Amino acid sequence: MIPDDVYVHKTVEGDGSAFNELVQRHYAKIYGLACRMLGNPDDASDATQETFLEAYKSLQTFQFQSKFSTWLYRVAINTCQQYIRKSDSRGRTLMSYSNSLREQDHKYNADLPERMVLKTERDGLIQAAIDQLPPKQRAVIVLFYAQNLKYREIALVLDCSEGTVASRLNTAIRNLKSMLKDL
Amino acid sequence: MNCEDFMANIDVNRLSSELQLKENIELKRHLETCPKCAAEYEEMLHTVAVLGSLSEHAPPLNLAERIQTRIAKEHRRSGLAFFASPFAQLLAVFKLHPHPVLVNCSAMIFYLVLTVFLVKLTFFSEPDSSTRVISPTTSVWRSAHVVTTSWAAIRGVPSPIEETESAMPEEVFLQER
Repeated sequence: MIPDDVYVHKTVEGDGSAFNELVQRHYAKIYGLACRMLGNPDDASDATQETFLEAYKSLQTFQFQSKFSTWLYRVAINTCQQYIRKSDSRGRTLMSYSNSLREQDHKYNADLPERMVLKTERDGLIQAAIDQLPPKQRAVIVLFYAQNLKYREIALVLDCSEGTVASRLNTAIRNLKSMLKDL
Repeated sequence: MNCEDFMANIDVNRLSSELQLKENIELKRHLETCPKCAAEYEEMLHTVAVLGSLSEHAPPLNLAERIQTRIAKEHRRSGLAFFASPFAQLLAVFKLHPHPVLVNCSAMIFYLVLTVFLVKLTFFSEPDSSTRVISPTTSVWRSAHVVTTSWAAIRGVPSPIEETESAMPEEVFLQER
């Protein structure tokens, strides 16, 4: 498999189609991250598009000191945090997964077996709990549990120490435990 | 070790695999002697297990295409002709992102109109009559003809090279028709 860096070089040199390959490789992960960070599929789609657009525009600043995916995660986290700030400044909380996405899932789940529906509902409750966390704690929870990144990788994405990652994760777990104890 | 130390030192990542308890005897000892921390530890383990069951969201089917379309637009925009760049930047300030072709066409029309205006101003404008300058072509030279006789043949007339231009009798050289 050709490394991401090759496509990054091609894109920087002006090959517009090279970036499409990077989109194909990473868009699902970035969408998953945005979905967990924002708790809303529409915002997640928009944030994913914004992330790739921002990455494309600022690709020349990528120094190849980390993996492209790590750098892209950082762009995505920043984009999501901007969405959260915008949403907060509008005076409304983000429409949580338990509202919009769960409504969407209910329609979609009409034909699914009962076990799947229960799993989706459970997932929705977990997401609703994650939505209550401050953005920094939400980021570590999503990167660690939903994206399965290691402490070192999360530290690179969030530009902090591994100790800070562990500390935020610990605090987030303690904040979540009362909300998730019945699941 | 007290409860505060226990909570500060427990690492949630290793907590899930219980590696830390095997490594750290003090943590393990506190856990065995403190029911409050033991209960909290159990709850945290449960939370970690719940979070570990998070499923991935499948992206919308056309999301990749939408991203690629936006990237292609951005690529074309960044490759706009030089003359259209100020237009693109101006539109970006107002957060307007029209199609690059539209930006190019607008820029071309603007520069065409500007060029026509400048050409008209320079070559086809009527000058003010009060400040009109009569050019030699229309005033003097059109109504005069040059005497072809050599300077030597005209006696008593000083050469224009020797005399100043103001002193030279103009009618000698230029005869009115």
